[in-house]
Amino acid sequence: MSADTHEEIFKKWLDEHGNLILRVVRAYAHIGEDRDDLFQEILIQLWSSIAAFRGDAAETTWIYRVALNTALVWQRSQTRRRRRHHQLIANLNHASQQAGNFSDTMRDGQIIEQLYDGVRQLPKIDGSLILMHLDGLTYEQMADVLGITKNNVGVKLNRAKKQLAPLLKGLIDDF
Amino acid sequence: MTFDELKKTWQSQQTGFKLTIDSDMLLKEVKRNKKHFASAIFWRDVREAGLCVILSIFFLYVGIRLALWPLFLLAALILGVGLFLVVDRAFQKRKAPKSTESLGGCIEDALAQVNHQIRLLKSVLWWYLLPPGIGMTISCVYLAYLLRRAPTWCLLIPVASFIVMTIVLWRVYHLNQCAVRKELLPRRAELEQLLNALTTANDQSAS
Repeated sequence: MSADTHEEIFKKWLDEHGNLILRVVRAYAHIGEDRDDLFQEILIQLWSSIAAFRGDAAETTWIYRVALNTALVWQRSQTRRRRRHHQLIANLNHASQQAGNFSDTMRDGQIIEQLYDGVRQLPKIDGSLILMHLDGLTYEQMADVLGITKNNVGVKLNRAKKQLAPLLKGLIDDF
Repeated sequence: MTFDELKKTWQSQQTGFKLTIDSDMLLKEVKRNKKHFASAIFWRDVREAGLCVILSIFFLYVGIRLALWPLFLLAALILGVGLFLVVDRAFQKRKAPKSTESLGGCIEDALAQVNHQIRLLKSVLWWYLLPPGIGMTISCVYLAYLLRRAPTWCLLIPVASFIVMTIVLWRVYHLNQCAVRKELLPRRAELEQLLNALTTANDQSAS
C-alpha cells in the first residue's frame, strides 16, 4: 500500500467515522485531558491498523474494534507524554449542531449525557456492548468486534441493559 | 421511555450532531505524534544504554590509569546491565499489544507486558543493582586493602564510597518496588478483571 493510499484511507475513515471514535472516547474518558489522550491514542492505533486492513470486515466494525481495544486497555498515564492537541475534544461538550427545537435539543442532550454517565459506570465490556447496541450494530458485528460468540452478546447485552436502567434514574421503564 | 426510544434519541442526536473534523490537521498530528513517540523511546534507550557505556569506559580508564583490576570487572558488569536493557526492550517491543486483533488477545498481550514489567522491577536487585554493587564492593575492598598501610583517615575513601553506593542502590530498589505496588499491581488487577469478564462470558455461552 502506497503512502498516499494510506493517508487517503485514514482521512476517509476520519471524515466518515470520526464521530464513532469520539463517542468511544466520550464513553471511556470523563475529563478533557483524558479525552485528548485517548483520542490521540486511538488515532495512532487506527493509523497503524490500516496496513492490516484487508476489507474482510466492514469499516465500521474494524474501526470499532481498534477504538474499543485501545480504549479498554488504555492507561491514563501511559499516553500523557504524547499529548499535543486540545481544541477538538475540549469543544466536544459544547458543540451541538442539532437542528430543531432548542428545548428538545437541550432535553435530548441531557439524556445523552446521562447515558454516557451510565455507560461509564458499567463494567467496561458491558459498556462497550451498550455503546455498540445504541449505534445500531448487529449481534454478529458486536461479536466480531469483541471476539465473543453471538449468544454471549445477547446474554451480556441484556444483563448490561438491566444494570444500566437504575443508573439512568428512571429514564428507562421497560425493565 | 423504553430502551428502543432511548436508542432512537441516541441515534437522532448522533446523526444531527456532526462535528467537523479537520482530517488533514489530524493526519499531521498523528504522524508527528508517532514520530515524536518513536524518537522519545529511541532516545530513552540510547540514554540508558549510553550511560552504561560511558560509565564502563570511565571505570575502564580509571582502572587502567590506577592499575585497579576490580574496576575492569565493574566496567564489564555495568556494560552487561546496559546490554540486558537494550535486548529486553527490543524483545518487548515486538510483543506490544496490537489493537487489530481480538479484544481477548489484546488484553492478554497487555497483561503479559505488565507481568513482564512486574517481574523485571521485582528482580531489579539481581539484574540491575547487584552487578554494579558487587563490582563497587570488590573495588572498595581492594582499595581498602591497598590503603592498609596509609594513615587511617585514608580508609574513609573506600568506606564512604561503599556507604554512598549502598544508600543509592537501596533508594533505587525502594522506588522500583513502590512503582510495582502503586502502579503495576493495580494495572494487572484491572486487566485480569477485564479478561475474566470476557472469558467467563465465553465459557457461559459454550456451556
